[in-house]
Amino acid sequence: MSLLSTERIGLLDEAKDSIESIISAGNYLKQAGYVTDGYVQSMVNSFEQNGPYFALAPHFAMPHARPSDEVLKTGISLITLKNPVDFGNKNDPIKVIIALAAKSGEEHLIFMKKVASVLMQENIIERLYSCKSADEILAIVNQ
Amino acid sequence: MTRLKIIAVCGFGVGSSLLLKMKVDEMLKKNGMTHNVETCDVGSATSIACDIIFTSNELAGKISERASVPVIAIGNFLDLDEIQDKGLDIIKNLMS
Repeated sequence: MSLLSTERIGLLDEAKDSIESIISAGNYLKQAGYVTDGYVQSMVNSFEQNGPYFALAPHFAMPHARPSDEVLKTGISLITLKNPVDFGNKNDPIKVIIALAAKSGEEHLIFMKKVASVLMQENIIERLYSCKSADEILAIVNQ
Repeated sequence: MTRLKIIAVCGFGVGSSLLLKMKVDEMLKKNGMTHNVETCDVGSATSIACDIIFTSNELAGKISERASVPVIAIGNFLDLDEIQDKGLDIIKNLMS
């Protein structure tokens, strides 16, 4: 199972702030049929309620919302930001965003282990940020 | 050896907390320890019996107000050193 495909990658997205960047990353999931419109809004709501906790590591955020009917398939999208934006914690500015659509259960767990193993690579965020094509991103993520 | 119950907490218990759990597992393994690490969402974190809680800086405040066990706040979920520096001594103390 490959984690990512070209239609869920956005390079040098021009989002102007954290909310726009969450919506932009979420829209790639929506357009590819992974989530409903409502899920994108739920990610924004979560950010507004729980704060910037999903800015998990320096320059990296992983917005997501509760597993629900709004998630049609488990999956991720990935965007890099032309102008890095602040989420409001020590990991600012955020340059790379992976939006996560999660269904609960065993399948999701296996999926998250794969996501984690990508993120555990040395200098992963800088490497993703320096990619100039979707193919370069895919080569790192779908190894 | 006593096994502690550790929980990793995020907003919904499905995304960030799983990454954190994997890092805590890795830190325990590196130090030759075996404990049970589970994930949960911020709403139920304080109603689950456990020995120690790992979470983000943002959620730590909310959780500490209601928790009766140590709450470790992590800024970088991918940084093994931070997780070890903040958590290892507390885990060792709980076992002694």
